[in-house]
Amino acid sequence: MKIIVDAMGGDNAPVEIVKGAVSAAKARPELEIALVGREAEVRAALEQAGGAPGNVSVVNASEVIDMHDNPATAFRIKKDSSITVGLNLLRDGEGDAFVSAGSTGALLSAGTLIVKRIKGIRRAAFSPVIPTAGNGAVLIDCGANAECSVEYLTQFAYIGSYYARRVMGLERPRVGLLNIGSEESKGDQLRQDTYQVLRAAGDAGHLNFIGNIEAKEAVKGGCDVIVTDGFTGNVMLKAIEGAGSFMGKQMKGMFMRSLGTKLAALLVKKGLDEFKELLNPDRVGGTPFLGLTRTVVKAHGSSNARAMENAVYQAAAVASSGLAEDIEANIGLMRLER
Amino acid sequence: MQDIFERMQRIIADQFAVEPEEITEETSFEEDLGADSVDLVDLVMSMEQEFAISEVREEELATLHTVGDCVEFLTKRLDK
Repeated sequence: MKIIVDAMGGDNAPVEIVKGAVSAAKARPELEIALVGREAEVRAALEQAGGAPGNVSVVNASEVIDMHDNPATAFRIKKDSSITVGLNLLRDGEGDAFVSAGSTGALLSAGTLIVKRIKGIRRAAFSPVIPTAGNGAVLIDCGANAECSVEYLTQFAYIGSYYARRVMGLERPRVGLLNIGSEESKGDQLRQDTYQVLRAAGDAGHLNFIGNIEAKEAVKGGCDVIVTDGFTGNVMLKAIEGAGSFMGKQMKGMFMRSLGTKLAALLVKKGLDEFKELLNPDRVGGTPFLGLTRTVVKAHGSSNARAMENAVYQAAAVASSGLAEDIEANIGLMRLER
Repeated sequence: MQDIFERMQRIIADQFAVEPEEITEETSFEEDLGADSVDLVDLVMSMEQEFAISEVREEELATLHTVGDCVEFLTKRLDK
């Protein structure tokens, strides 16, 4: 299993990215890692990380796509950028997955147009696993497609379900359509029409569709796959992040109020640490970009070494899961008659 | 010109999953087909391959709003 890592992407590149990749290479010697970026900078970062293990190689790419580049066309203009070179390697079978903490828009465009969508898939989607009171849920889409059709959402439901089964190990993932109420008639026309299609898929035994789900119920663990458009999904994701941060700060303030509360904090420290860890995005590392022929994972822009290490593991898990084969085999179920 | 239009019809029908006869020279990528910026880059990449033309530059891409714009652009390119 070879993971191609964009060494130049993200706020902390290349030092933290390389450090995380080296940690992953040491912890999982069966993995091969190719670091793509400006060779001199990458090799300097490797020195800082204690040297390159035998399973780490460097591929030179002289350019970097930054926030000033047009995301849709950057990969065509900067042909020797780390994203373009890395995705070309992935497309050509020189690796099994690509991980980048660089520009989300550029990765979206380049991933779609270099690696290509699986035939029949209308749109690829960013699909993080968000923390819930259950075992987490796939949120699909969370930002790649602001405007969606019934067919897009239907495909997201299937892709999310296969992801939950293959990568999260759930036998019959519960698929919910994010809405403003649980009744069938709730929501806009898009939600109402999608509901009917997903219900039919559920009745036919293709999906375990549990109906509409409100955001609060989803966070409480009410489903395993949350189907929504990228705009709404992104709002939900950011609201969860904000609420988690707010609660964490409030709790800290509460426990730091007096000597007594500080002692109380010591007594529940393990639980507090677990709670903090549950909401820590570095724990997961990245968001898979699902619907493409090969595995592409977007690590968050502020990724540190730990986040990158986990993003590498996540990429390996997705690449070896058989997810793309599941989607290809069932593409007929996801095409809607026009 | 007719040949270019018909080949464009096929490319667009395939990419946007619409019937070829629904596509006219007036068809707008954004308004009628719901295309986003990635779709437009995808389309010009298909055009480059189909018509074996050199890469469409970013400023040229920005002028392609309708099927007719593409036919006109390709006619000029292929004449060169």
